[in-house]
Amino acid sequence: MPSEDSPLLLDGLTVRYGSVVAVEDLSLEVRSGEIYGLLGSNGAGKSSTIKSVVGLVKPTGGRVRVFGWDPQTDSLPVKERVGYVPETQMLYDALTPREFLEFVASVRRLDMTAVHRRVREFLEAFQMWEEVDRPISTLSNGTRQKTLLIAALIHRPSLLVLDEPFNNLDPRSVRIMKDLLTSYVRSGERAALFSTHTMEVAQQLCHRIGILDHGRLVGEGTLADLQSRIRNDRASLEDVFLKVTSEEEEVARAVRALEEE
Amino acid sequence: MKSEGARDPPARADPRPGRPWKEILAIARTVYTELCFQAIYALKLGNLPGEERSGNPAQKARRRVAQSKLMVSLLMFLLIASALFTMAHGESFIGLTLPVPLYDDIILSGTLLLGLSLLWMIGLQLVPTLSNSRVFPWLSTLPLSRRDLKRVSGILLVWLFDLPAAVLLVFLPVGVGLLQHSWVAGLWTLPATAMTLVFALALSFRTGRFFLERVSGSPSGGSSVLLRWTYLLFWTIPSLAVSLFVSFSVPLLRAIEVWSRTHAQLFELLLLTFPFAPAGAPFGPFLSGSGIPAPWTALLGLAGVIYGLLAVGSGLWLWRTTLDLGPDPPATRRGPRVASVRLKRTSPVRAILTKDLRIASRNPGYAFLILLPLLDALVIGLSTYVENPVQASVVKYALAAVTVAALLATFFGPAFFATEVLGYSLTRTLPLTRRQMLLGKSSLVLLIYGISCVLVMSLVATRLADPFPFAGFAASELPAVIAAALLQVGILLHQTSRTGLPVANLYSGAWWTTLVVVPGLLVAGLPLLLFTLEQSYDGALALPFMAASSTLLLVSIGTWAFWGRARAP
Repeated sequence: MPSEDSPLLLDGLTVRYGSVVAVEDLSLEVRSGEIYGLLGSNGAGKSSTIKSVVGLVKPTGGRVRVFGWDPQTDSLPVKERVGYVPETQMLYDALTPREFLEFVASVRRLDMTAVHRRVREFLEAFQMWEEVDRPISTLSNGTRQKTLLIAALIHRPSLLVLDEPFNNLDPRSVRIMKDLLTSYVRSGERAALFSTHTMEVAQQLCHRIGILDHGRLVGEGTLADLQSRIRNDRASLEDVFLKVTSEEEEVARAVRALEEE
Repeated sequence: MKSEGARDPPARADPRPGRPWKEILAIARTVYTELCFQAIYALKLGNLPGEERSGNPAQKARRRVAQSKLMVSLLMFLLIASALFTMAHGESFIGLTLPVPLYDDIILSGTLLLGLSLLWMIGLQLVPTLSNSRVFPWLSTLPLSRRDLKRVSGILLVWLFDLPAAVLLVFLPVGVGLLQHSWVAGLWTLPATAMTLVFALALSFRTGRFFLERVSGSPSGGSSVLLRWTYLLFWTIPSLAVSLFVSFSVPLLRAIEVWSRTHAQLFELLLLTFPFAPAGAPFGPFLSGSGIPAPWTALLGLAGVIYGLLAVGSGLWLWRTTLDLGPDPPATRRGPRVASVRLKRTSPVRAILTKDLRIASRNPGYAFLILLPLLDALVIGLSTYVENPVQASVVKYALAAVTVAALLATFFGPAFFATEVLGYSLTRTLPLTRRQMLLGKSSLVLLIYGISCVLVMSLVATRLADPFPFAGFAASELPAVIAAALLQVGILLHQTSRTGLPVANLYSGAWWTTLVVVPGLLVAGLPLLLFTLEQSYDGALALPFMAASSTLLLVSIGTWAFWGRARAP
């Protein structure tokens, strides 16, 4: 049974932009110690769901609770506990990573001794020592993404909300982030919600997966749950995804058409 | 393996002929629309045109750019008209005794310098937009020859400056021709005007690129900050020059007249500089009768020819290099390896202020908004020395400087909300209260006003018999300036949380300007108005009236901002 104090609880979440329905009647729970993956095609409603969780989008209907708080009405306790990496690289381009992290640490009123150690470790892990004092506008997309990841993790949040976090990252950094996420939730006190297009990453990393299609949750559970749903216990997550979203036939047709051309 | 001395075969030349002009124009039109769109909506920074807005946003953006060009052209027209009026009637009015051809040369040179400053000022705003738009790197990926790409960039350059440049190129020669009753004299003005235009464009691109490299791409660190602000001071030179020419044309003319008598040889050397030498061309035949030795007249002609050659060189440089305007690839931008990272924690309010100042220090457009009120205060403060006014005038100048600082700080302050753009979405996910945001953003307006007041005070302190009325005036206006800033930021916070969009390019839309800037100006202006009215009536209660109204405004608007509707998330 869903608990009100869960890291994240969505109950009948609906998001509309004018006449466009982005998310419809979405209910899910992210439990402590869990990495929950949101899968979906472009425009399936993943980013709108995530933006509702961090308070950037006001839901049209339903409830969002982060550790029992509503991100719209009790935004401060939510923001203190959440670390967010957006899909688009929302950064102050004129600042350097050092200046940006200083801003985030100041606004979060963090203990700087711990922050220095943490930032140092991240810079070492991401090999960012040569970029930390360059303006963000001059950095590669990968380094910008690393800066966002450090900013999201700097305060050791209880809930990590990551929208396509591995975009633009080099293989070394992807590996570091995957290992970090796994150890991050291991203590059982933290949780992570992340969206991705990369099935392999989701299959490796997520304890449970939710599949979104046109704003609706069309499948949810562990990989085994999803495999049993399509009655194929050897199916990959990609097979499951295409089957559940009824895109398997469509994909095959599109490939045939392209080959014929 | 290649043997030593073996040469690579020459690259194959593209055998395709250049594209017809019709196609080049169509490409340029599309790119120009994209540039307008980015300039107005800052699309790449996340400021999308709202859904509720009617009409085609691309067309709307083009229209707004055209409106802004029209405004600048109108300003250029007015400045030229004033200069021509001074040329026709000013000498006797001002009371100068300079020979007429010399006087005309100086006025025409001043006008050309004014035009150059104004075009340079526009260019400095355009170059970062051109570079950040990345249209040139994008164009170079299309199957277009280098020559065709240059034609596109040339057309864009013409369209970006067309109206103000046309006003300068047409109106000035026609005006001079009419005044001198000689079409030849008018035509002789044309080369100097064309040179001015080319130099302005070349200066814009050269300095614009320099600033992009040294300012926008400058690293963190104390010495870099100092260097950035020093460069940014140079960025304000064109606008400062326009302001100086407009404010001090008469004292400048008088100074030149005195100088021409006391330092005749140096004055003759001045005539050899740009734009005096080419501007003297229409009056050249008469210069020999103006006290200038005949060999100098020939030398002036020679200098004019040299400047002409320099202008041709600058034009060719522009033709060659405009296309290369674009950000360097990130790989070339690696900095030195940093040994350690020490972050400084401040209060959230100070963090917002520091962030905005850092953004401004790498963005000449925003830095300009901070520096202009300060420079204006400096110019008005300095004018108390130039004009050598009496005591009463010193006070008037000082009060004017503070008034201008208050109004400019209030006018430009809201733009610092626009610095947020896409970053604001991330800031909204940080535990930052609305109150902290209000205070952080308003403190910048307060800082601009405060520094301006201190600047004027330190300049006029020795020239004021009693500095207390001036200090009282500045202090009385302070609550109104804070109130205006709180009102503007409050409206912006409320609107952006309602629409969910960050605001960029605040001054591109009449609606935003009316909604945000005008109320702020009214609040900051009301105590100043009361002071002026009461001074013209009695004067004894002017300062108390001003202080009381200013405080009342702060109390009421502060209550609204911190506890009223603006507080709602």
